[in-house]
Amino acid sequence: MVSGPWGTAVVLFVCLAGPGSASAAPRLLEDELRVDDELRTPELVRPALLLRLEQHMREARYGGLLLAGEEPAPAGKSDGKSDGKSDGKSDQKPDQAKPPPPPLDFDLLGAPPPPPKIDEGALRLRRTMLTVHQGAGFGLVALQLATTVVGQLNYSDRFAGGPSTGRYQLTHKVLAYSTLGVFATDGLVALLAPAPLKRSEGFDRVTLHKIAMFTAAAGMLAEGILGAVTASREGYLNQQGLATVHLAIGYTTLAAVAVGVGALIF
Amino acid sequence: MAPLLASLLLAVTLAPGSTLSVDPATSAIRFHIVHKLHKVDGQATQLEGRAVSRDDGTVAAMVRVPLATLQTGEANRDQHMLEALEVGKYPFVVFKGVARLGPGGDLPAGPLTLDGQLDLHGVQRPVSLPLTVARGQDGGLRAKGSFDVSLDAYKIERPSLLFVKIDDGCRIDFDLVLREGQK
Repeated sequence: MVSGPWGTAVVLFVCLAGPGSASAAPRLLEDELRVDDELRTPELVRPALLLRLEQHMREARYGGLLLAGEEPAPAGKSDGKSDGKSDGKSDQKPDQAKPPPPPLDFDLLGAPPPPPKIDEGALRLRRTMLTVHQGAGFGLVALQLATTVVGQLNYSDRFAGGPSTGRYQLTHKVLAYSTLGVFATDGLVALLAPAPLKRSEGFDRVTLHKIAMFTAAAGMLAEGILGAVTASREGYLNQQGLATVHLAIGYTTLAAVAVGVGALIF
Repeated sequence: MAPLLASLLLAVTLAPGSTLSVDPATSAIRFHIVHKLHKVDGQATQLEGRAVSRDDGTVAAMVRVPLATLQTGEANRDQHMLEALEVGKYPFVVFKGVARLGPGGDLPAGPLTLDGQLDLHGVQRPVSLPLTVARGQDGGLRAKGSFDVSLDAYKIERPSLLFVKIDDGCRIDFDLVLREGQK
C-alpha cells in the first residue's frame, strides 16, 4: 500500500481535478510508481493503488472530497467543494425548491370569434415595399439637396454676376435626372404597395406626408419641363427669368420633400 | 381604528365557484412603446376576460385581446404594428393565470400576483402579473397593474424608423373592471 505524503497528494489531486481528470489518471499512477519504485516493487504496489485510485475517482465524480484514510461521506451530502462551482444550494432538497407553476389547462373564454381574414403575404409584401420606400426616400432627400445646391451654383455662375463658365451645368443635369428617377420609382413603390388593413381617418402624419409628396411631385414635373425649356432658351432674353422661376420651384420642391419626410420622422 | 373598519367592510371575498367577467366598456389595456424619437401610447379597443374562483382556494383568470383592435392613434403606425405582430397568423394575445386566495376566499389586501402565461405572437412565456384588486363603488372588482414584455422574447420583429428599431421593452398597463356573472 502507498501511504504517507505521496499517496495523499495523488488522491487529493485526483479528487480536486474531478471526473474530467480520468484520462490523466494512468499518468499520475505511473508518476507515483516511479517515485515509489525506489522503495517498493511495482508488482506489489499496483493492485492496491489501482483500487484506491478507482475508489477516489468514483467519490470525486459524485462530489466527495476525501483525503487518504478518511471515510466517505454519507450519500446525498456534499460539502460543495467538489467542482469549485457550487452555489451552496446543491444540497437543497427537491421539496424545498420553488413550487411548480400552476396548471393552465383551462379555457374560461371558449373559442375566440373568427378573426378577420388577413392576407399575411400581402402584409409582408407591403412592409417590405414600404421599407424600401423609406430607404429610397432618404436617398432622394440627399440627391435633391445636392441637385438644389448645384442648381444654385449654376444659377449664380450663369445669371447672378458669375463668370458664366457653365461648369456646373452637366453636374446639375445628371443630379436632376437622378432625382427625378428616384422620386418616380420611390413614389411608384409606395403607390403599388398592397392596401393597408386600416385606412387613416382624418388628418394625420400620413395625410400630411401624402399632401407634401404630391406637391413635390408637381414641383418635380414642373422642374423637369422648366429645366429643359430654360436650357433651350440659350441666348434669349427670357432665359434668366425662366431660370429664376426654375430655381424658386426647386426650393419649393425641396421644402415639400422635407415636410413630407419630416411628417413621418418627427 | 376607522381605516381598519373600513378595510374590513371593503374586504373582497370570492366565493368558490363564483365567476367574474371583464366589463369591456369600463376596462382598459394600454401599452407603451419607445423609439429614440417617439414615445407611443396605444390601447386595445376590444378585450374579453373572465375569472373563476375555484374550490382549491385559487382564482383562475383569462384575458384575450384581438390584436387587430390595437390602436395608437395613427393608422399607418397601427398598420406597421399589425404587420410586425403577424396578426394574420396570430390574431390574439392571451393571458392565463392563477392566483392563490386567502382563507375563506379573501383577496389579500396588498398586491396579488397572478402566475401564468402570456401567449403572444405564437410564443408562450411564463409571466407573473402583480396587481391590486379593490371593490369599486358600483360593486364591480377593479384589478389594476402593469408589467413589461420583451418583444424579442416573443420573437416580434421590432419596427424601425430611420433604421433605428423601437425599444425591446413594451410596458403594458391594465385596468380591468370585473362583474359577477358571465357575459
